Amino acid sequence: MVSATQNFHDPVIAQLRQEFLSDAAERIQVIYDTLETTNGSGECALLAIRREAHKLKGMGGSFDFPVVSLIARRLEDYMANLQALEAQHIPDIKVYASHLDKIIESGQDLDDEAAAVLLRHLPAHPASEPESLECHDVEVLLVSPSLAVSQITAYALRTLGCRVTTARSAAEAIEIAARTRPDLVVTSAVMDGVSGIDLVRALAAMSATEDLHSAVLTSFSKKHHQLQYLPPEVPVIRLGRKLNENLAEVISGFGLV
Amino acid sequence: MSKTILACDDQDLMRKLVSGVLRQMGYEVVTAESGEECLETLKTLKPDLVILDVDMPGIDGFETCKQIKATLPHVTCPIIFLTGRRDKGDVKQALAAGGNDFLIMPFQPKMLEQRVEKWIGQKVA
Repeated sequence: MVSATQNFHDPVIAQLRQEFLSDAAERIQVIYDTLETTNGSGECALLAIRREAHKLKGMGGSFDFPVVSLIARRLEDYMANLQALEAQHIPDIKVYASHLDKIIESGQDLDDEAAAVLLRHLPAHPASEPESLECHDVEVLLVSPSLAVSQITAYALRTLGCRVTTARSAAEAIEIAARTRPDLVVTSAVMDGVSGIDLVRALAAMSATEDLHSAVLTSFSKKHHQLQYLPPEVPVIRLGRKLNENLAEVISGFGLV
Repeated sequence: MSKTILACDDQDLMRKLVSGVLRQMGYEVVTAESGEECLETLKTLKPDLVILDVDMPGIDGFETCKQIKATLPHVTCPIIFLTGRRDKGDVKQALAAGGNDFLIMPFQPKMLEQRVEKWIGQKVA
């Protein structure tokens, strides 16, 4: 069977890459225009920007611009749980658009090191800065196939002042972790395919991610058979009413704050 | 004789990417720009595989799949969804709609190749 990707570096793909750059530039312009014309109001503006961010996220990595996908993903995470676009959000979203714009204009994606630095400096989700809590420079990659668990845990992490990127599977998480080098990977224990336990073991085994801190999110007791292969140094974070407390303990335990 | 794939996506660029990869693999590719066009095309086409984008204006990929199952009994081939959505609920929705598999976007062309081969792999001379 001839693999298409063995000879995939050909003029057709080069042409598609150029089309992607044009398409992406238009989508970023839509984001700018939406921010200008709505002047900080509304559900419709939020939906319009979400749509463009979603499309950019879905396409970037397919056309050799994985960092475009990552930035767009973080923009989606930024807008998660917002009901409407408000004036306070506009400068932050402009920062996202500006970074996307620079990459697209240059025609070249960022390398992993530059991407990791950039991602740390992207504006945090609005919930990360409630009045009484400090804002920390802690990047967390949260891995869970469950939207509910992801939202609850992401919210808890943001109230602790962390920046959060979400992934839905081990495969996604490995790619993001290697590229963005988060301070902490928090993963659900149970996932289809590669489990959270296997994920933390894989991260520890790979040179690109061996020094990343990991923790497992679960409602199982320590003696549960699902956790039997969890490396002893990997902390367990309990889902439930003490979630915030558990997360805070793990974060400070790793010396991240 | 080459196998035929129907690729449905509202974005011209994604249709070109998917059809470009699949044609290089030796498949015949027919494209559709919407769920509605997909259903219309399938009235007379019996493909070996359908690749269906989920997020489309008009009827989305899940609804298109449900209508394929409900109204086009001659279409019995596997259906692979393309989706940027990533959570378990969407996977369940995909399977409940009658889809066989899904590919999370962004995807590397190699992943598309592997997924298609899994369902209808053909030998190319």
